[in-house]
Amino acid sequence: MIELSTKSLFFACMIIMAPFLLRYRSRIRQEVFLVMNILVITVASRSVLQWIITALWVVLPFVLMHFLGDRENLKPVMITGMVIVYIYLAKYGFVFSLLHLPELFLFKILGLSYFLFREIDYIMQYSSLKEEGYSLNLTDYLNYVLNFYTLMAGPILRYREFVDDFYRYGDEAGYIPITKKEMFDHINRVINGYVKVYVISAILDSWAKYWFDGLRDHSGFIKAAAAFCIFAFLNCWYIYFNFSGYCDIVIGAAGLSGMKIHENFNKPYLSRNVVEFWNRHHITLSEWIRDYIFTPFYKWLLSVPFKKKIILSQSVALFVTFLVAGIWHGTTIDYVMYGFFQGLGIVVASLWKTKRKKWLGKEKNKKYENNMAVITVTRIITWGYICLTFTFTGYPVMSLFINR
Amino acid sequence: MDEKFCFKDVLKIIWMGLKTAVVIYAVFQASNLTILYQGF
Repeated sequence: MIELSTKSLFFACMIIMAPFLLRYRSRIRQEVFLVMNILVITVASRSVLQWIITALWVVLPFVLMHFLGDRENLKPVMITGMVIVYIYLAKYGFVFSLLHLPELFLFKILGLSYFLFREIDYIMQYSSLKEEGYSLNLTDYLNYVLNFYTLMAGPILRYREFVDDFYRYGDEAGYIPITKKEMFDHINRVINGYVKVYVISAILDSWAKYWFDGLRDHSGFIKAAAAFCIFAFLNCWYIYFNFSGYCDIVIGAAGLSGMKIHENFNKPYLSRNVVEFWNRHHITLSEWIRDYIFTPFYKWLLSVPFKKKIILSQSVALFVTFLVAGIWHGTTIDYVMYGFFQGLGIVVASLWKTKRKKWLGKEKNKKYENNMAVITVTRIITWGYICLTFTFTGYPVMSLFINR
Repeated sequence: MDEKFCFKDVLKIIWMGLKTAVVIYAVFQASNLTILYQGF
């Protein structure tokens, strides 16, 4: 059912109002943006307690960094503490059942995981930002973390980029210039995003649900497998249209307000392997996990447990990184499987590339990579694999196998 | 933005208006559809 809630209407109103309020670079532009962000968070909160916890969750890292930011050795402790609190607040079912923890509130905090990404970026970059003379005041920090455009599903901005863009120079009157073409492109993009989310992905989702619900009714293996493939096909296009549609709305709307938000998709289903796929799908997440999970973990593996064993270190680091990213996507066992298969796909693709280069040599490998038949086949295989792994997101696929 | 609007722009506006109408129709009429962010 489409729910035309007051919250979604409020969000649409903010998107329409924001260009009029934010396009002009007035002295109070950051304060206006802050009020808008707090309003969205307040409307999205389901109780006063949830609002207070959200406020604490957002403000505490700023306060801690403000007073203890110069102590580099405290950063890992802070981030570990934040991840533990995140696991609790995000309601990971297995943690609750193992530790018998009481639940503070029924519903999840909106944008919780994206807050975590931005807070970690702020903590990790704090020293270099300070050295480079970046503004580190509470208003900018709150605008960065609470940014209502990227609240629900990214893209994930970095503090440096956000501040650079927010204080971008306007014209003499303080107005951020816009051409007619830019204006049309942004408006068209917002409308296309709404068409993708509310029309195309909504239809695909209802079809995918229909095929998933009917999976248990099929008696033979072939019939059930065929139905599962149809469900996987519909579900993967639903994910693409829904997520990229949402990104189109926020990127277009932010553009109208004079803000630049990173692209998050680049024709992901045309990827030739899983590594390439993650460079084209949810690009900002891939970059974030590369910088804050993969690189430090890979360096550590290379220096301590797997001394100088580059391929082994890279494979383990890639697998663990994508397993963690999978678990981050959701709180059920299905997301663990999702992360497992993404990690497996990435490791296999990366090892195959390394080995192939060794076997074929530079010239032959180049010919192989540019061969149209190879490109077509690898695209189909990658897309099929991604289709199957995406079935773990949003649907209790594991229950089909466990409860059979 | 001091540029003038031409006939091509009018066509663009009509096209965007049609798409907006489709979205509004989908939201108000097609009640068996689902959106991901309905919680918001």
